Amino acid sequence: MTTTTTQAASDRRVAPTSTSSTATRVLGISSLVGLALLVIFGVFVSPPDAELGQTIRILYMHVPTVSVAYLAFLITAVGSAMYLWKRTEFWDLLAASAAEIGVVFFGLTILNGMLWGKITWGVFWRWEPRLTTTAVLLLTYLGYLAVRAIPADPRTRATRSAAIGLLAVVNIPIVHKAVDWWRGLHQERTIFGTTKPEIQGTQAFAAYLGLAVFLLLFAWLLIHRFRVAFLAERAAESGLGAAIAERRQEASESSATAVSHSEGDR
Amino acid sequence: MSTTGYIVVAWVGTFLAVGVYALWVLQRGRALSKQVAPEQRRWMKSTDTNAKDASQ
Amino acid sequence: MRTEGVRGVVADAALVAGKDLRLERRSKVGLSQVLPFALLVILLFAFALDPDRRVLGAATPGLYWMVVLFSAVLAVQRSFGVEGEDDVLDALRLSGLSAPGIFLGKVAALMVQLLALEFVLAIAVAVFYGTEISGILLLAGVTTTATVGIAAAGGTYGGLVARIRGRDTLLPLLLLPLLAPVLISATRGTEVALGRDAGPGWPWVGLLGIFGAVYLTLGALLFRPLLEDA
Repeated sequence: MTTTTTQAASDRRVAPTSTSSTATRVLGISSLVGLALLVIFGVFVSPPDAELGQTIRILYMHVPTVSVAYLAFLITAVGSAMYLWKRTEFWDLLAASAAEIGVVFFGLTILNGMLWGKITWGVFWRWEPRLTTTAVLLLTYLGYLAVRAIPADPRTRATRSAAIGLLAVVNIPIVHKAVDWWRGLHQERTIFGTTKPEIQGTQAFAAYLGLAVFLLLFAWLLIHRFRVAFLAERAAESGLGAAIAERRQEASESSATAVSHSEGDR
Repeated sequence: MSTTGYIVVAWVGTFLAVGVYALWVLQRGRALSKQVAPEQRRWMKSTDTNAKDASQ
Repeated sequence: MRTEGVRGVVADAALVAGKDLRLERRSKVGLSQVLPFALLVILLFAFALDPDRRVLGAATPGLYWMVVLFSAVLAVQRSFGVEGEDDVLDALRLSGLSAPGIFLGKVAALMVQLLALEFVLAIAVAVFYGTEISGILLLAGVTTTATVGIAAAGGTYGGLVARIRGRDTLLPLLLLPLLAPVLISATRGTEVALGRDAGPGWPWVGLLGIFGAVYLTLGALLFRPLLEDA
């Protein structure tokens, strides 16, 4: 890069002091606008459901959060596979960032599910298929984050995480099947009731809007989280590099004094 | 707590959790940006840092 | 000399399995520690639950498979603990054995140990909980397929955590959520076999078989990068 008098201006572009950019600002603002719209339609405008009553409003949160969570873990799986193939930092950081966001949204899914359950069943928890599966998967991905937190060199950490990312994702359909068959034996109502609710008009709009808004939100979060992960790696590297440079400095200084002492003795 | 109460908790809780997480990510981003040298701050191309390890 | 190809993988597996089983025969850790632990838990369940046999009896299939899972964690720790202590894993790798071969060998040895354990536990449960064994064929199907899955998942995660210092607490956290569908399927299948549940039992065997096949394959594929980098 050539240094010119416009260095200051280009510095401001190339060396941002945060993880924001034009893309994230667009995503962020549209998310906020969308969220406002969602509150208006989801909480106030759309009517209560014939079958589900007011609880459909919780589903406007619950369905988007679980969708985002599954999308996140899909990205983690793809990132894990790509990392094991290409061995580039990008895929590792993408997988890890997506996993963390996925865990947050899985947690929210369970929260919303429990609140829906409290209204519908009168209890915060029932071993119905969706909630049970989500609980198992949440624990699985908490394990991913636990391994991620273990101090290790980047390649070791990335390999371990990638393995778990893949092992966890193939478990998802198996857990679904096992839990569905198991709880189906007890005629547990799923969180959607025994029949899919017929939603139309503003209800459908609120549902799809919720999905769209949360997807925008997810993209915004993923970009920022990825950049944070990237910066963390650079900071760790430069920290290590600085420490090594210091040692070298000390070593050359002490050997220089040793040489001058021995010369002085002669 | 009434039905409305639980619905409020669901919406507020979700927004709050996402908001707190988002703020935490943003704050970490700012803090790390200060620590990292300017030319290293943005991912520009595929950095094959693992290739360096492999060559050791 | 590198052994490649399917025959090479099988030969490597046989070598590693033989080594692990000979080691077990000499040290008898499985016999002297894991089995007593399993029997102890069977005893403790009897204390924790109503001594009235009705409650224990109803819960027997689930308790049985829970004990198997906990024992499996110990068995996996043992299987890879041996390796980690003297960097035998690295030595195995450098000796030219194929990574899938090492993996399958470890899984095979784990399976043999687990099947032996499950057999003894079944007798213990029949005696102490008064369980009447029936549906032998279905039981055999459930037990075999479940054990394949447990050994395969255990072998993979065992290799993953082998060099991590906190692996004793990490392994259960990683392995047990993954094995949740195995616990569900094995327990339900066992209940059908024992005549406690009217539903079909063989679909559970099918699901267990799928789990086993998936994790055998994935584990074999992941073992080389895990051996080298994890």
